[in-house]
Amino acid sequence: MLVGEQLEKRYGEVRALDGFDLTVEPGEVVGLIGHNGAGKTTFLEVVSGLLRPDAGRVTVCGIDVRQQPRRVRALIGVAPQELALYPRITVREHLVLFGRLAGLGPGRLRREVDTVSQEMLLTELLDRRVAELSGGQRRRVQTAAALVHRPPVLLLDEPTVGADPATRDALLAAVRARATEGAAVCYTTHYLPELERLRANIAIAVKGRIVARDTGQRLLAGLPSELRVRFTLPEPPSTAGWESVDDELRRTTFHPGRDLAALIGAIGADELASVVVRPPTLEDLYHRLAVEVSDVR
Amino acid sequence: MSDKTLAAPEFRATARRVVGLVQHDFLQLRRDPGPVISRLLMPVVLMVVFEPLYRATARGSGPAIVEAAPRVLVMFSMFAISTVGAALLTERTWRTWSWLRTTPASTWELLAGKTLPLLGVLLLQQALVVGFARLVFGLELAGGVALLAVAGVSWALCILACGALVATFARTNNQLSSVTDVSGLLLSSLGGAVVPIALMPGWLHAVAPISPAHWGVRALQGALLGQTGQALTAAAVLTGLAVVVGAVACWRINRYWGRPELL
Repeated sequence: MLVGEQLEKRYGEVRALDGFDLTVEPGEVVGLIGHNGAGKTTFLEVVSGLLRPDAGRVTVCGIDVRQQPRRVRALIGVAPQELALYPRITVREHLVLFGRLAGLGPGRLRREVDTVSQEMLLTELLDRRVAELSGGQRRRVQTAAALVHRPPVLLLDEPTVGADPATRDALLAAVRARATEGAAVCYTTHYLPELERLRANIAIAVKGRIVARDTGQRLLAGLPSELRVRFTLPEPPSTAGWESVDDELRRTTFHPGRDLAALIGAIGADELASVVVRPPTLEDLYHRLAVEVSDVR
Repeated sequence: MSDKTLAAPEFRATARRVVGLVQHDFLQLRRDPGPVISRLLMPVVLMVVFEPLYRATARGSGPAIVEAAPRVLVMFSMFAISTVGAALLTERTWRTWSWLRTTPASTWELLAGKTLPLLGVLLLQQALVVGFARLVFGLELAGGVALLAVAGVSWALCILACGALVATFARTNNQLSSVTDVSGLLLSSLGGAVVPIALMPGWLHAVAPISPAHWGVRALQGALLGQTGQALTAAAVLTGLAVVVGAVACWRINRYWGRPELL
């Protein structure tokens, strides 16, 4: 289990972490989302022991990162946001290096390299040098190196940036599988649909703190839907409470059925061309929370 | 168990990690051997050129090859600082250093893994130069192999530490090259690795000991001539310098490295 409590980290005047609290339970994937500079990467670097927080505490499986950083690092697998690979070294040699550094013996190392390469679709590439790989293939190598020793805590920092669909599918499947086996996964991304595929719970970071943390469904339950109605008329009719955008009327509402009925009652159903109800998305939630936090501070 | 306690299983784990890193770095050197080959061969070539020069200016302290061999060795090892620095700086520019630091390997283990292969290269360079000088110019090892090994290892450790420190200050390979080229030439010249100190102006005699090259030449010459006191004193100075400079490099790496913008 990963627990971050009241973390603070400053770079000069900038507060990268400002009372950051986050817990990830075994078997749980937490999708950590937020704008650039919200503190996601800083949090992962604090957990990895790369950065020392100014205040607060992080424990991994009950071990304090500041007191026993090396023991903690044996329990985590990290895939950094930036690609960080050795161009002249093969895929297999990367996996072997990270497996050995994590303490795997020769027999288990061979088995884990085989397993993780299958999971990440790297089997055919094992003896190719990284310089010969595409960007998506390199992403898979980086994530595979984080997974190779089956750590109980995974820290994946935007692992699908620039990845092709095949890479994304393989990566998400492997991460989900590790969570099912009991790993606690902290996964940062800007691609919010990935979090649905991972069946992830959501933590939203804004300006160095977590402002919301729950299942996606519960977080979205408090948001309105957007109702979009098109007519066959040359111009959408002007109606109070509705916004005219291009050739359609839009309204944000908690009661789309009732509002649609009222609209049809006022204008009539004959000219109706199409109706779309767009349910709230994580992006809507994120933008709303970001604005609220900005207003409060 | 605290992180600072190094029990037997932890020692074995440390050894496994260091061996893994050393093998990894040997692989990298093997796949890009150009700089290493040039560092190995150039001193041999230059020694052939310099030997007649030192013979012409011999001042009776010993055979000319005892003047030539340590000097070209020291001069080219000074330039090897750039090889050490580049090996470390590359880890930073590739961002692999930060990633390695998220593994259970400590900074000391990572540094050992990076520098031991380079220590091997430096010792191989010394063995090649001395072996060639012995074969072609009849160089005698009056102080014996053990004394020469002490001198050679202390000099190589000093070079490794200096390379590591320079790497923590440079932000780019161009910066690193500029610093190591200029400082290598300057310190080699000041330390008497290019021209014997006896042939230099009087005020330079006083300045020479500030250069590690001065102690490198003294250690190696002392070992070759069988002057044990001179060789061991110089080796002690070089080892002390290696410890201090290495500790500062480690401190900087621990404290600042990994996120370039923090430097």
